Amino acid sequence: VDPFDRRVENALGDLPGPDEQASDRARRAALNALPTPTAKSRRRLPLLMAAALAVGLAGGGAVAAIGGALRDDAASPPSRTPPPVAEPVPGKIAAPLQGAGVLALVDGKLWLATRSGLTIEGLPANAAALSPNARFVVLGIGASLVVMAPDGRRAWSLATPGGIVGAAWAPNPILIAYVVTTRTGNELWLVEGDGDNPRRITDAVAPVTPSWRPDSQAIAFVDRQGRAMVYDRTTGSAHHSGPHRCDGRPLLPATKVAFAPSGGANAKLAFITKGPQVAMSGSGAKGGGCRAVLHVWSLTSAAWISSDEVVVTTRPALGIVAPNSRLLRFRATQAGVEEKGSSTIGPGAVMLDIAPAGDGRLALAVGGDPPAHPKDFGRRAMPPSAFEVRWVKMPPAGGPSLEIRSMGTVLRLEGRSARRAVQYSSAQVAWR
Amino acid sequence: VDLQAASDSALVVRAKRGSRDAAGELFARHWPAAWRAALGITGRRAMADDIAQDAFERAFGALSRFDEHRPFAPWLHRIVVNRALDLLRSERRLVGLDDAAEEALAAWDPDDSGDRELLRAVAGLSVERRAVVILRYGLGHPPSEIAQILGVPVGTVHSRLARALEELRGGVEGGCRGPV
Repeated sequence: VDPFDRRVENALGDLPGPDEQASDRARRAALNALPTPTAKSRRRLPLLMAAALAVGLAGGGAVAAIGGALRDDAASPPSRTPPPVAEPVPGKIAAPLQGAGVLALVDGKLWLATRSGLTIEGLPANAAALSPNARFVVLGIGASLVVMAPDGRRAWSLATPGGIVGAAWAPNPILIAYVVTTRTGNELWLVEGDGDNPRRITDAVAPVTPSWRPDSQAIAFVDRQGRAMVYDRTTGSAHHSGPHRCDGRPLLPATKVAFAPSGGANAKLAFITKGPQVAMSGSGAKGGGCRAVLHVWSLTSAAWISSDEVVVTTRPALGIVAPNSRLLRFRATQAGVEEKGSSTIGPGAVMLDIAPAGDGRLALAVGGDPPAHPKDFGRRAMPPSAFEVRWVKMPPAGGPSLEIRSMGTVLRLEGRSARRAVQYSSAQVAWR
Repeated sequence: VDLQAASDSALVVRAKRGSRDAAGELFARHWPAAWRAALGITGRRAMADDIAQDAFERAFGALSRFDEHRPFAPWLHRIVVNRALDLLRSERRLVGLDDAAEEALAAWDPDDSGDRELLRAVAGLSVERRAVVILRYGLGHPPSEIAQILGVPVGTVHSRLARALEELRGGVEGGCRGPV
């Protein structure tokens, strides 16, 4: 044997091994990925779940609740059934059992947790987005774009020409789109996932988080006039997507844009407006056709749950008369938009943002509803300064209304004084 | 049944039938090597954690389709290597090359021991050559098996190995003129 070959063999044979924590985590994940058990082993499932639940309940307190969730994760084989209801965990956030990570950005502070071990609690940030597998997170902090690695260290940072308003990581995941506010207006920028080659796309945009088309070849944004625009990377040009309503009336200015999760170059685009409108279009990248418009009062957010279904959230529309915040499910068809189901929450709570998962659940950002008078606070179900992320069931398609029951609160923040009756001005929730 | 004495093939059969104990033994047997392969190619512990875990999830998720008469390790290593190369090619590196080399060195050699000079040279190889070197000298796969793992002709493996060794010799100060 050549001495140099032996030297290489010796050097590489002495590589360090994995640490215990990573090994335990990987072992749990690997065992959970095993195919559905046969009939014999399935009989053991209720016992395993009961044991895991008992361990979680016996622990008590926030730490035990998190530990219980982890143990449950380890003991249960993959299942489409929802996890057992967990007690609220003050000031903590946990990665969803069947997801790679979750983040909540509430009034300029970030909470996030990923399965790869990255946890951030209360970091001041203006914008945040998880990478497609939730291994990395991009943050907008002041006039810097910062990417953090799974080990919590800063992978890279980039000075930007102004404060960052919103960021979105492309599904591919080579690119990151972000909007910065400069002295002269708002600009849409692109940068590669390793921090290389930042370039400005346009300087005539509104301060709205952009949305990637699922094929990563186009970005939706809102222009200075409030129009939903699509920038096509293959042509290097932007066009007005769905320029008019199908009934010929003008569209109201957009405040949020969201591409459907599938559909390639013809993926549908939805946006909500300053007025009671959700607009949807199947026109895709070419920008032709018209917009089907849905009228819903007091909109707070909208998100796609499939290639043609949207869920929207609302504030309570009429105070005491209609005190509940609503979650509505709609389907876009050739003929227009039809309601498929609804859920309510409240009184005393407002649904602020929503992030669907692929398994029929939704991550829902819920904030306290500020009372009209401080004396009303005692009658409220939720303090006005509280904020939660809940997993909830999808509203039933075509079924009766369903009152939302939390399926495990993963984040509850009550750091503010209830007397201030602060209404959360911004909230974002996302998961992968 | 003594799972520790069972062959990989027997463990795969039992794991397919739903035995988590058998799957756990397979994991214990192959996790360290899979992780070291990921570390060797990427040079970063955190990335190795993710890649090796992901590879095991994919392997166990597809276990029902795996032919238990075939060896388990090369199949697993193929998944590890492909995941590592895919990740490095698509996301590129999130740190600069110099930082990467330093991090790789720190990860490989936390106690300031071992063949630092050689490890530094390995960290500087292209990912394709690094993968071949790790599979050959770190995991002990013969060239024919490496060819199957990487999906390339055996001749390509031999040429990559030869060029990698040549590059390593050049990168190591003074080369290697005798036993070390």
